[in-house]
Amino acid sequence: MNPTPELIREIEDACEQLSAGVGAGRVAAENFLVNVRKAENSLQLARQVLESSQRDSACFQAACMLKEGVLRDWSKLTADDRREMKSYVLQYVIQKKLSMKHFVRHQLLQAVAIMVKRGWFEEAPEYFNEMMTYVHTLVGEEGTRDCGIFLMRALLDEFSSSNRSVVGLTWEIHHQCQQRFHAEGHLKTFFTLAMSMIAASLDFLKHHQKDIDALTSSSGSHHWLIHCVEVINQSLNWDFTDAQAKGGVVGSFAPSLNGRNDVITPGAAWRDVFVQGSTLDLFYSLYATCRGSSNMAHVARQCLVDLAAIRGDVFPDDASRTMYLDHSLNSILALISAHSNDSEFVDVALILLRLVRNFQASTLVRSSHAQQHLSAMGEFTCMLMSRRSSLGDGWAAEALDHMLELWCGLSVAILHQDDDRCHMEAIGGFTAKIFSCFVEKCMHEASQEVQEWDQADDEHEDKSVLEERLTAIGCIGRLKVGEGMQQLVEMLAQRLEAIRSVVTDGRELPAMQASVALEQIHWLVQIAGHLIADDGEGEVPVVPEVISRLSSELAARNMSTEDPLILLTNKVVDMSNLLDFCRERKRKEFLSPLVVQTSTWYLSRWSQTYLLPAPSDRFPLSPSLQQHYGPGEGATSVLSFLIDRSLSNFSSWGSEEDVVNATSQLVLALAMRKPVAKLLLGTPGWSALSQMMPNQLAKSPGSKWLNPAALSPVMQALCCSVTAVEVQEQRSILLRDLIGPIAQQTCVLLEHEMSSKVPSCNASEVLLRAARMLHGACKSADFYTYDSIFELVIPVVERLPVALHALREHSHVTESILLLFVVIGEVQVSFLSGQQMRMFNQACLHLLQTFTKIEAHGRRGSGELQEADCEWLRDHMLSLLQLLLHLARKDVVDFSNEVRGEEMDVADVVLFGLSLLQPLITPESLQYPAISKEFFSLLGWLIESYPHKVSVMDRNMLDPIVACLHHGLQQADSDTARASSEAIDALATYQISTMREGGSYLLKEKHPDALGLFLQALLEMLLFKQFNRTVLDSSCDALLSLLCCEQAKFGELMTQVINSQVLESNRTRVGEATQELIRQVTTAGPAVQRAAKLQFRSHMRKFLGSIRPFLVTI
Amino acid sequence: MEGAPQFKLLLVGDGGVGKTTFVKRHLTGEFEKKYIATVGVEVHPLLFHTNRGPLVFNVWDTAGQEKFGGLRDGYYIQGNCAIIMFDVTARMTYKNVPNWHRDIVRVCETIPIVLCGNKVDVKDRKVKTKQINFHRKKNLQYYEISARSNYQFEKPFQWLAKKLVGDPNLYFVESPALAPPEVAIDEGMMRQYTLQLEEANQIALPDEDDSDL
Repeated sequence: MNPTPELIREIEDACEQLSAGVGAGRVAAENFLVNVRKAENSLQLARQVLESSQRDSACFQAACMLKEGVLRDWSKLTADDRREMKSYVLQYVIQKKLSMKHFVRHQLLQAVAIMVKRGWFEEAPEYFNEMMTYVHTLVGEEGTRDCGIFLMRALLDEFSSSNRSVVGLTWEIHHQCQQRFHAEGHLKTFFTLAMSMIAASLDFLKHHQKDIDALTSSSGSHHWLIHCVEVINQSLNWDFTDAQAKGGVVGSFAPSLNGRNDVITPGAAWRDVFVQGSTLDLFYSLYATCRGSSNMAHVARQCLVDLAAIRGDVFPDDASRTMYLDHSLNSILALISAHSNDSEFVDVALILLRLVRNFQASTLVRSSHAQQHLSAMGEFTCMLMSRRSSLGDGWAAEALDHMLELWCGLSVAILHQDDDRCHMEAIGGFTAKIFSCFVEKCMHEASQEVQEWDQADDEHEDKSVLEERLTAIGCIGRLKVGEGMQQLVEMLAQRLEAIRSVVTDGRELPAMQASVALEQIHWLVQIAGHLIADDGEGEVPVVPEVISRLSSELAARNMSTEDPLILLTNKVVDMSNLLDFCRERKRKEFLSPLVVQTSTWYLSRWSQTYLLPAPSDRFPLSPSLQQHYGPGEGATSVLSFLIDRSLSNFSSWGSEEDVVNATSQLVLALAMRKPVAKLLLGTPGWSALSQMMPNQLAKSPGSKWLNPAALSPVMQALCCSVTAVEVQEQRSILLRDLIGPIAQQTCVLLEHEMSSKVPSCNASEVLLRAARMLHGACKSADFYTYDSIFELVIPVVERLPVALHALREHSHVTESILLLFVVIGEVQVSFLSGQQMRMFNQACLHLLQTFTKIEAHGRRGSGELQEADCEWLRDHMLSLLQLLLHLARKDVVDFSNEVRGEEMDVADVVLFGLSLLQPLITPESLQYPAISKEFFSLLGWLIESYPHKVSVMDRNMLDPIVACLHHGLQQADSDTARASSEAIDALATYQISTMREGGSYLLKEKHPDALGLFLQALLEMLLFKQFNRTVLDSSCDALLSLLCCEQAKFGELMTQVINSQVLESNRTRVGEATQELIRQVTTAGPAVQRAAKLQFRSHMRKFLGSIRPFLVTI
Repeated sequence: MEGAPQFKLLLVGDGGVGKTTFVKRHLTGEFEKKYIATVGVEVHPLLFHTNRGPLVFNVWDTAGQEKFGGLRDGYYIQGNCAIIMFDVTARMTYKNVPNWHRDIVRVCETIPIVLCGNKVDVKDRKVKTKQINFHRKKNLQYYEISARSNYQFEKPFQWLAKKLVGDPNLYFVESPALAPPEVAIDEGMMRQYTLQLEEANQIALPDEDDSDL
């Protein structure tokens, strides 16, 4: 494109059209501008537009063009061209400073920053120092100060943790630039330069405090100040962590997921800057001065937030640490006032949280100002709780969450220090107050919430926020746990008594009052549950030490009747009884499923910790708790109550899914603990539950009917409890009694009913319930029970596939049947004997064949699957993939105690399954992350386990696998790309062992092009495309194996790459780098051992680092 | 629509976060199940009726994927406001929010910006509410939305309208009017787009924690 005046005018017109933003004109203009950007002489065109156009939009597009062009054409420019280009842009910015729009200037300075970064490794060492001197000169002159600051910002952007604009560089180069920028002191220079400019203007600002908005506006005399503070923010948000120390996260450039550095570790080199009270004073002073300014306040406050995150070597000793903490706390706490706005509250809370987290709790509590600081923080926390949570879009709630996290951290730290009784006392006063305030706040909000139920819009609220808040308050309450429990007991008692008296007297209560009382009880029970026990997270949690100690002290004084833990638990039990009472009296307004669900949750959490409490090594268990809930009468009576309560919940609240789920979890939690399970087996309630199960297949008069959601967990719990029996024969008998009748009835049904083409609705319902119960039974299987369970279940499993075809209209039944197969695959396959495995394989084959028939049925006529059939198959594809994956693992993880027979072949089943699913694996279905993940895991597993079978597959079966791996290699999703390259590596590695003279290998016989195709795709990705760094290692491994198999093809492809280079210098560089790589591979030898692979990875990094920058297309 | 104040709204965010689906929700009220990558930019004029009269947001729905970027930040000029969208089920899309924000403020220094976390209807969310605080750092408004279930889908527009009109008491008085998307008539370009779209459809959406080389 010739830069004629006509073309410039055309560009200007296109820019105007684009700005107008409507109609076909915009599309044409966009197309035109995209082509201009791609023009070979785009840099020349951009300069021409900048020189001659008066239109801002045209200058802006020219600046963007220039920014993109310098990157793309960098390798084409000579050293002189590059230097000239850089100084031209800088001069242009300075000369046109007054008339130029900010958006043009920013783009141009960004182009300069890109050039500086791009050239850093190719220029002389003084190259960067020249730039720094230039920056100093610019900021030193009043007329060019703003340009200097903008240039600093652009450089920081380009050199910091960002890699978006410099797409042509490797991660290594980005990283080296970033590290060097810090290590050579440029970052610190920028920081101190910005700091000195702020310091110099502070007095002036203090004298003109009312005019700060005007002064710092774009036309004000200090318009640069806000950018100067941004330089500070950018510097503090630098990623200071050393890549070596980051281990697995190398390659992740973003500083942290939440966009902030929670910990800032600038290192010892910054001591002179940060370990000075004057630095903190400067920023707190700046904030105090600009606090009322709408432009400056927020950005200045962010400096304070970041300064609170500083830690590490920057502090030479504990004294300097304490001094920094004290100084910061004094300054921030002085800021809190009634006039603070919500956003200030959030940041103040965050600053406090960061300070307390970054400096150990002991540093805080041992400080001479500890009481004063703790008191102010306590008051601040309570003040936040008194604010309406909905105010200002949850700002107050967020600030409160920060403060609760702070107090929770402090409480945990103090609780775990044995020698800190006095600190516990010192802090306990504050935490008790905070706990009490929180309870009151919940009571207040409960009543508000009831009144605003209609407006509630919490459809998709993140539940983890509430859970974390409750966990935090539970921890906070522990320091004065006696007081906390007492408060909850009293508040629960008041509300329960009020309800009881109303019901007893037969009085009416306004609906609102009843709802408020119930809502408040729900909150009290939730807080109580978090206060008394921890979430086990899979382990058996011990009784919290403070609770055990308190209970022991009371027992020693003969005051066990006042043990608040026992009183609190009794209150929850009272509440359950009260609800029964309300039901008897038909007082529906008090029958709240929410309260039943919460109290069931409480009982479940409580029973994990207190029922037959686990001993602790740290402290003796309270005798009182032992007596009430330990082995003997105490535990037995509690357990009977819990089972009766569960049965009553199942029957009375069967239609409330949340209550049913909570009750199922309670039953399961009890059965999972062996000591409890032993007791359970002897309780009448448990026997009743066991006897109920066979009646759950079909509703019969007089029997209790469980919600389908409860069937699997209850059956799992029942079978799980059997594990507690020591004698094998007894276990088998118990399991037979539990599962046998269900399995038999189901078999009979399958034999008779399924022979008819259209099953009755009743049959599908029965099958659904049977599948869920058997699912629970299979899920409970372990080493001691799998055998009995499998023998009982397999007759049903063998017959179920027949039902699938008839039941295809009932998708949820099909899903339950598939889940039964999957759970057997997941839990039991690794234990099964050869004989058992054959039976299960046969059943799986049968299942897969049924799917084939359904698919064939769908294809009839048109040859294409009908939409509905496709959907049906896709819905169940995930389960089928999971099943195949579990089966495939049998060949690798096998705990059965026998030598494997020849005839048993899992591979055939898996390969058959894969061939069935293959037609459904399309780019569209692979867009579902879950399906894509399972599918590629299966492919990888399959190829790794059976490379010999895959290598000799027929082309009609192998071609789709090759296509899928080829597709997977190019996916942005790192898991998929990695799984694909690992599978390719496994396939190619196997081929090396089958190599014959002349370079032929096993796979080549049937599929001569497959490995060549992979090699080309991998090279394209590694050399020319953007790709996810986390797949680099696996890609290199695959490349090495492929290279060993297809050496000639590699040479051919690299020759093409070399020949495609326009510039002679680039051709030479690619050629030399390739020679070097090949030389290294030859040295490594063809045996693809781990050491060779590791070596090759490192050679590839060097290879890519040297040639990718100019090969990658933007 | 004539006479109603018009505002250029930049809609940005990583590919696949649901920008186009979100805009189309306003146009047709239908949830777009299929993912088709946007090429370059599409401009949708959206008419809203407020208690202060009608106003139009010309939503510039930009390409999230690098390779379909067209003019990239070249579209941002004269933007009056912006929505940065990420997907709460894909961490990477939240990690990239600072980049989108930086690119916008580099061109439009002080415009009102809303950060939107989309797909909150999905149960297995990867970015928890507590981890989301970029908006606090940059003083942006944040909304969790679901284009699928309509959850809070008017909130970002209403907040921007309040800021742009300068009236905190402004609110929408009726549902947004349906407007046809702008149609490109250049046939050659359509053919080129079709080819690119076919290619786009071959690309799975990024899911997990990953970063570009």
